[in-house]
This record gives sequence, structure tokens and C-alpha cells, in this order.
Amino acid sequence: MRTAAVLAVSALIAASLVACGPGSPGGTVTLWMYPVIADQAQSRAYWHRVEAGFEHDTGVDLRIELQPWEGRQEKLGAALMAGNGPDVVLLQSDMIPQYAGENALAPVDDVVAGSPRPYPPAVVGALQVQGRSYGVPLYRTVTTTVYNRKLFAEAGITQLPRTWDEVAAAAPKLAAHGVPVLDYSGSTEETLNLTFYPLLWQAGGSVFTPDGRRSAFASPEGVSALRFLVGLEAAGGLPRDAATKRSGLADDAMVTGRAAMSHAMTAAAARTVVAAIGPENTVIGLPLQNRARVTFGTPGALSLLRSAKHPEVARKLLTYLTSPAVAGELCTRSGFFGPWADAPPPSADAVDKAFAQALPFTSAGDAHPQARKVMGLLAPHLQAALLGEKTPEQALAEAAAEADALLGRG
Amino acid sequence: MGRRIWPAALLAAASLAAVGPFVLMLLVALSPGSALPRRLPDALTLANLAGVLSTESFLRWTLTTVIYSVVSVAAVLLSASMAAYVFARKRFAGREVLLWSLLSTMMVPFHALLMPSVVVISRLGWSDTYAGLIVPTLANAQAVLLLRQFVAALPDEVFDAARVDGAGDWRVYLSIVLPLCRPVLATLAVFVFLWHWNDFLWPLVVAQSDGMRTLTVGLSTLEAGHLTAGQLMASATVTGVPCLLVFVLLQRHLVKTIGFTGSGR
Amino acid sequence: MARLRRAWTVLVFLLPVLVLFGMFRFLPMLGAVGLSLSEYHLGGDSRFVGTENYRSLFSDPVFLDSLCTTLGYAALYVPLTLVTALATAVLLHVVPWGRGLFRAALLAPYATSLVLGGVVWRWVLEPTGALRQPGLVLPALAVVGVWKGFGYAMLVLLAGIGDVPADCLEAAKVDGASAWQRFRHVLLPSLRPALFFVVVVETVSAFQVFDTVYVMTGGGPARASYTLAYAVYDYGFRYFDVGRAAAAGVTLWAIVLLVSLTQRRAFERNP
Repeated sequence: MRTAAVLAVSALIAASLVACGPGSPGGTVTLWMYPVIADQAQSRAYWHRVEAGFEHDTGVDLRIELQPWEGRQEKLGAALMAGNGPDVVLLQSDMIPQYAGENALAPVDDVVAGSPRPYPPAVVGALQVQGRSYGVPLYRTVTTTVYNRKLFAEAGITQLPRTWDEVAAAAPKLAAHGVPVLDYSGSTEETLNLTFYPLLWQAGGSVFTPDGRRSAFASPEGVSALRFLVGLEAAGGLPRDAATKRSGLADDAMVTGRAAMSHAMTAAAARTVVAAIGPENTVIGLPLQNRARVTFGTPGALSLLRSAKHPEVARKLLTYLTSPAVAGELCTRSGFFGPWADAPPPSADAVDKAFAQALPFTSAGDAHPQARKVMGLLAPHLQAALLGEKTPEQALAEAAAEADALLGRG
Repeated sequence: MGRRIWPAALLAAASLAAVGPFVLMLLVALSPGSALPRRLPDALTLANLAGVLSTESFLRWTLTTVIYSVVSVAAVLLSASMAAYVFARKRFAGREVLLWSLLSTMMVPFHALLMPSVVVISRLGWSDTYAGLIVPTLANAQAVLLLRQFVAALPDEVFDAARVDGAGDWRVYLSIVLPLCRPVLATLAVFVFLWHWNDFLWPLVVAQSDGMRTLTVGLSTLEAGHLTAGQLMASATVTGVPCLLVFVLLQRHLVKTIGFTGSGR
Repeated sequence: MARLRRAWTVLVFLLPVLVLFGMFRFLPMLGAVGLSLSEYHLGGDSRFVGTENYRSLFSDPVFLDSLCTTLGYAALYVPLTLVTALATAVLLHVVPWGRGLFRAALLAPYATSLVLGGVVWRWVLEPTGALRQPGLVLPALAVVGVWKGFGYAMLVLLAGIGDVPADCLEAAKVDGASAWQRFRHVLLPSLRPALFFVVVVETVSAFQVFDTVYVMTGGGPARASYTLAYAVYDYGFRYFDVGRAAAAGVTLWAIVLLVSLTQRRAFERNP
């Protein structure tokens, strides 16, 4: 009898818990945000203020969910599939075509056009699919080359390398001191935008053909970019675990002074390096030069989900969040650039000024609905080449076959 | 005599290998430095453990895991014992067919049901809720079968006597089946608890907000590497200690049941 | 009237289980087949495409490689589990003292999660670099799998050994059979049913390896640990290819059925 009573009570608790899981009250708008402001306490404080400000202005209940960057696509996909995604979400420009292709986004041309401060055409264009805007610019990421001058000096190099050839020449000298010249993170979790693609573009290559029907990275340019990396690896120019390591961890190679340079670092990451190894040892240069001088830079944008229950309220939220005052403060606190045509660097310190020099060389990459899937296919083959399992030609050709099969499937 | 030593030495070595990782985990969790201590650290510290236990996320994951496990145990035992009673003690049309179809679901890998299950709970509006997390995992064919076997093996006289006394089915279920099944219910409770506490894939795909994550899912996000080894191992320790405790206290039941019925995989 | 009431009771007692299995086992089983035959978009719209998903899977080298990787894992995991479990079970049977303690120690990994095991082992293996080498990653994953899983098989075999009549072993001993001979000719033959059961169960679980792959390798390096179960998750939740994910899941289901049926058949033919 006692067993029965225990079971019955537990089942009752079970039933009541099941009945009243966290439901969503009507009239709320949900925003998924990420650690754009890297410092957790600052990020929380800022978004808390934004939430309060918007609710005060409009009387709408705003829920901001701060998500981690890790597993970002998986989580958003799962939520959309389950029909309980956010109403507004932060997307990078190269993710937008995919979600637009899945018919998950609603166009926001009106919000973009209504901005009191104009955006440069390149930024607006990067967020368009077939002539319609699917994202309102919030900030701009710029990456460029960052050097640890002390490590170069210790290896007897005073002229910091500015071209691929100079990097390759510096590799053995630094390797003799046990220092890899280039920090490279080849984990398949990393976006290739910050690892291989800048090199591919610098070699004059591209990911897709201009019509977007086939892959283009297995070109001679692509092979030369991968050869450059594999050559560095052979010369001791990459970290020991370059093929599989992740970036931005507590023991990051640049931060701990165990790698001499990075070829595509964001301003926020550069600030961490400055803080760790000292401003006197940190040099921020232009993007590396090979066939072209180019680097990755992308607008971060807010997109409106088609599944939003109150699209009009969500549009208001977009306007509010991207307004010069609110977005401007975000840029100041995060160290990212403002998305506007007339943007001065946020706080204009030395790091900002250096990154502003790189701004004209940025590219957001090919806008393609399958861009992120192709990344997923290519990354393991790049690993294989770095691990010496395949030659660069082989690796890229095999990846291209897989990517073309994917593109052929449509 | 020497012939007796070798098996014992081998067994001791195997046991050490089995618990070795746990010992390392504890050592690193309790040592102040972040590297693997070469020797026993001079001073042990609870700082890592305390740090983990004071994070808001971790407490919420623990709460979710407790709810997930405890509620599931109660609900599985209740639903399965009710079904087991009629399967074992009642004749009705389609009984064998039904039993076999329940059995057949044990041969379906959960990965095959992953996508449709996600669609089902989303259609029910249960995404990212306790209902979506818990209810789909309550369909447990092993529990029904194990209990049915046990109830069928109970002596007929007990049931006949109850009938003579004029007891209805509910009375029989509550005052005979449940009390007599107590040992096997206890065993099942341990299995279901461990299974839920350690479950990963389903909570991984159901949980979208941080508060709906279970400890296993939370632990897998921590691995992304912003922690020191000490903090990471402290988190693993907190995740593992409850199931190790349950196991140590109740392993008698486990050992018997796995050995004789093959349940628990 | 009494009949009707009896039918009613049966229904009431079965109701929870019927609803649970109907909604969350049988419906998804049908749904799996249905989804695998359609194109399903994130927005919720879907379209029937026939066997297109299967055709594209079986012409996709990534998917075919994942089948091979899964087979490779099973080929390492199953024999290793079997040998470890058999050895420890026999030792537990032979050693007269400390049995409870040894058994508890050997079983401890079984009680914890693969995620915890994965996190701890990943850290243990980090200095060896095994998880960074395509050739070593599957063996490393298999070792973790065996560490976590052999306890269960050990218990099944231990019970099997307990069922061997003591006088059989005693008689063999009196006849002057060595320990090895007793193991080979008396113990092993009578353990056949238990061994068979363990092989089936462990093969099926090897084909579903996921947790350790997710935590320790993410399918890498260079896709060396990209298993079938991981592919299902990857297609579904990284690429949102719901139809292909469902098709891969159904393929896994078919393989599991096939494996257990052939193993059963093989066992029945020469018992």
C-alpha cells in the first residue's frame, strides 16, 4: 500500500510538471543573441538594459536569450524544426542565403530603408538574396593580420612578413626557436571564414563559380593556398595540433605567446592578445598579400523569422536594436565596427585605427544557400591534407566532388 | 599457492583500470593546479567543486536532470506495472500480438526515430518543455516485459484468495501486485534512473534554452574549452557522483537482474 | 455486462502504455519511413519525393564511408568487449575473495554516462595525440566504449558461468584436465547462449555509437570517426536535411535488424 501511495504521488507530480512546462505567454517577442560582447558580465548588463529600454518604450514583453556561439546552427535549426524558434536572431551574412532558401526568413527591406543613418551598398548587398534584404546590419566584423613582434625579433626577424613568401621564409627561422610562425585552427567546428578562405581569396581563388552551380576551390589557386599551409606545416610553421585544434580557448596560441602571427584575427581577439603580450609586442598589419590582398569581414545582421508570431512588433524591435544609439553602444562595447557608411571607429584607440586600415580589403565571401554545408564538406579534407593523409590536390579534388554532388542535388 | 595469486593480481589490475579514470578525475578536480599532478598534491582544494556548484547554469542543469530522472522513474514504474498486471493475469483478444509489437520496438535504434520524434513533440507544442523531454522516454518495453514476467510468476493462490474476498482489479493491483513486486520495482527504478541520468541524445535535441539542459548535455557544452582541467573535471565529478552513489548503494539489485534477464542495455 | 466491464478494466490498465507507445514509438516508426520519403523544410512544408533520399545517400561517398567507419568501429569494439568481459567474468569466478569489491570496481563505469567517460578520457588521451590521428581515433573510441560497456556483458557471462553445473567442472578436474582445458572444453561450450546474447546486444550497440563521437571527436579528424549514428545527427541538426537524416536512420534500423537476424540464424544452425 505504501508503495502504491508513493507511486501515485510521484505520478501526480509528474503529471502536473508535464502539464505546466514553461509555456510562452502571448504578446512577447523573442531575440536570440550571442556573445557579440565577449565579456560575459558586460554582455549581460548591456542586453538587460536593452530589454528594459524596449519594454519601456513599447510596452511589449521582450525576451532576450543569450546563446553561446558553440553549436549555433544546430540549435537554431532544431528550434526552427520544432516550430519554436526565436522571432529575431543574429545571423552572419553567409548564413542568410541558407535560411532564406529554407523559406525560414521574412524580408526586411522596409526596416533597412528606414534607417536614419545610411548603410554602404556592399553591406546591404551582402544581406540580400535575389534582390530582397533578409537582414538589418548591426555591426561589422573585420579581420586582419596580427603579429607578436617579440617572437619574430627573438628569431632574428625584424622585418615582419607581409606576403606569403615572406611568411614561408620566416617559418624555419621561428621553428628553430620552437615557435610556429602562423596560428591555424583546423577543427571542423571552426568557420573556414577565419581560417582557410582568406588564404583561398588571397591566392585569387573563390569557393563557388560565379553562377554558384559548382564549387571552385579545387582550382590551381585553391591548391596553392593549401600547399602554402601544408608547406608551413612541414617547416614547423604551424602549431603541432593545427589540423584539429580550436581557436579562442583559454590556451589560445597567440594569447599565450606560442605562435608568432595570425592571418585573420578579429579586433576583439586582437585586444585579448594586446592585453596578454603587451601593446609593445603586438603589431596589427594589413591583410597578407599574395595574388590579392584580401581578408574576411562580414556584417552581423538581425533577421526576422517567418515564423514570428507578431511580425509587426518584431519589426519594431529590429528598428530599435539597429538604431544608431542602441547599435552604436553595442559596437563601442564589443569593439566591432558600426555598419554605417559614415562610421568612425567605435572608440578610436590604436587597435581600431589599425583595423580601420584593413576595412577596404574585407570580403564577406560568396553568398550561397549551401555555403555552410560546403564548409562542412571541405573542412575534413583540409584536415586530411594537414595531417599528411592526402596531397593538397587530392584533398581539394575529393572535397570538390562531394560539394558538386551536393550542389547538383539542389 | 602461486597459482592463486595470478588471477587475483589480474583482477586487481583490471579493477584499477576500470576505476582509474574516476580517480584521475577526482584528483584533478581536487588539486589547485590545472595540470595532472605528478604525485599526490600536497593540499587538496574544494575550490573547483565549489566553483562549479555555484554557477547558476550548473544548478539548473542538475535540477532538470533530477526532474527528468525522478519523474521518469515514477511514471515508467506506474504505467509499466499496470500494463504488466493485465498482460500477465488477464486474457483478452490481441494480447500476444500487442506484447510482440511492444517487444519489436526494442529492436528499433533510437536514431531512426530521432527526426520523427522531434516533429511529433513540435506538433504537440512540447519543444523545449519538460513534457517534451520526459514523456517520449516513458515508452519502455523492457520494463513492461520484466514486470510481466515477474507478475506471471507470482503464485495463483494469492490472486484466487483476493477474488474470493471480492477484491476488484484496482484492489488487486494496489494491494497485491505492487507490494509483491517491490524488489523488481526497486531494480527497475535503478535502471530507469541511471538510464535517464546518463541519457544524452534526446535531451540534446529537445533542450533549446539553457535551463532545459540536463547535466550530460551541459557537460558536453563545457568541453568547448573555456575551462581549466580542474574546473572541467570538477564538473564531470558533479555529473557522475549521483549515479555512482546510486550504483554503489543498489548494485546488488542490478547485478542479479542483469545476470538473469539481460535487462539494462 | 461482466465481460464488458472486464474489457473496460483491461483497456484502462493498458491505456498509459498504449498511448505512450502509440505516440512515441509506433507513430515515429511510421513517421521515420514517411520523412525518409519526403523533402522537409525548416519552415514546416514537406513534399513527397519517393526514394530520392535513399538514392542520394547511396551515391554519396560521405555516407558510404560512414558505413565503413561504423563497421570498423564494431569490428574493434565487439571482440574487445567480449574478451574483456569473458576474462573478467572468469577471473571473478575463480578468485575466492574480495569478489564484491572487485565486481563493484569493474562495474563502476557501467553506471556513469558515456558523456562523462568521453570528457574524462578525452583529457586523459590528450597528451598521446591519439584523437588527432585518423588511424588511432577509432581504436581510442573503442577503448572508451569497452571501458564503459564491458561490465554489462561481464555480468551476463558471470551468471552464465554460475549456471554451469559445479560437478562438471569438478569431474574434469578429477580427470586431470588443466585450467585451460577446463575453460576450453567445459566452460566455453556451456556459455554459448550467454556469449551469443552478448555478441548480438553489443553489435547492435556498436552500430549506434554516438555519445563518445559527439563529445570526443565530432566525427574527425578528417572524418575518421564519422559514424552512421553521427551522420544521422549531422544531417538532421547541422544541415537540416530532415529527409536524408530520416533515411539514414531507417538504414541504421535495417542494418540492426539484419545483423541480429543473421546472428540468430547463424547461432541456430550450429548451436
